[in-house]
Amino acid sequence: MRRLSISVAILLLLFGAGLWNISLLEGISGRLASQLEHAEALAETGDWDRAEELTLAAKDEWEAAASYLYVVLRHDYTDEVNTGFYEVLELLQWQETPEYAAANGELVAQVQHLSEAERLTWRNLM
Amino acid sequence: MIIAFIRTVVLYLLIIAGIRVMGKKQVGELEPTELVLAMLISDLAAVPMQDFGIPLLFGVVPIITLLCLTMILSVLTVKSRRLRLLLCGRPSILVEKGKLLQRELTRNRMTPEELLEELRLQGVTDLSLVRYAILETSGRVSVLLYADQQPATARQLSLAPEEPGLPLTVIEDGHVRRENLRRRGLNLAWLEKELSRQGVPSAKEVYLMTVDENMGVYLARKEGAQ
Repeated sequence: MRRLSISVAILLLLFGAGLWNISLLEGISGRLASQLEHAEALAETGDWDRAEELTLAAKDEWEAAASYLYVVLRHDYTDEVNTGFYEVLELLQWQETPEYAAANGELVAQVQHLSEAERLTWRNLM
Repeated sequence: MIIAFIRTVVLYLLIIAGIRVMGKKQVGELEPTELVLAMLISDLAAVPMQDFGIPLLFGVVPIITLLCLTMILSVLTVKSRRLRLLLCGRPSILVEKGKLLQRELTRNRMTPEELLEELRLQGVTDLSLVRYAILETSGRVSVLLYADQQPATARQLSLAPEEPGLPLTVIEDGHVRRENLRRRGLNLAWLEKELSRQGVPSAKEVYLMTVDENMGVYLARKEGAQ
């Protein structure tokens, strides 16, 4: 009976940890995506400095969460976001609106994909 | 993580159902749940081991999930006969009083030749000598011969053979196992005496020495030792 209870408890713990992980990922990717979208809106108005500041802040937040994300996500997902940040920051230096907007849009999609891939949906399960 | 968890649960139950449908013959010596665990666990461990792009957790979570599911099912099958029948099936009688039960053979997808092979492996060549042949849930065939075909036991012959009990190893590859000597109530002085009685100068020259409950000694010297 003890073994049964321990096994059930571990399964529930894993399920609970999975749900907690989803909410954590949604929080991280939601905040990063909104910061990056806000930065893009500022860049469109010509405020490149503020856009860069916001992108750097997003990158800091990303790096703070990176060690956890490398544990729970496929490394190619996290590597893509890393590369995306460097590309967007480089384009912000050049202040090229179309290229920056395209790269930033791609980065936002990659960041949103982090939580989408873990979301408990029929599509993901299949 | 949760996707890996749920996928593991679904695939585990699906494979168990598949193994059950395939029948007892495919199971071998393991129960279906154990077989599925053995099949899956090595693959799960190998993937993150070889691909550094996959987090270790992607192997750890499914493995822990499988171990817990197997533990839960094994406890529940002990408690519930119905679940045990569902997961492990029930033994099938293939031969009764020397007569082949063809329907059972067909139901278990076993050919008469395969049954004869199993019987031969157990030293039985004549089907008419078999009282019962039972295909167990583990996939093995148990054979019960007619009483007059079974080997006579010492009791049936009114004999009282000595019971040697379990032989304990006291020297293994030249090393004395003191704890086994103590368990037999012996000591190093007895060992030295026994070795000199057998013409062995030292324990280092012994490959294996055992002592049973009746103090019967088996001694094998190392190859090349005088």
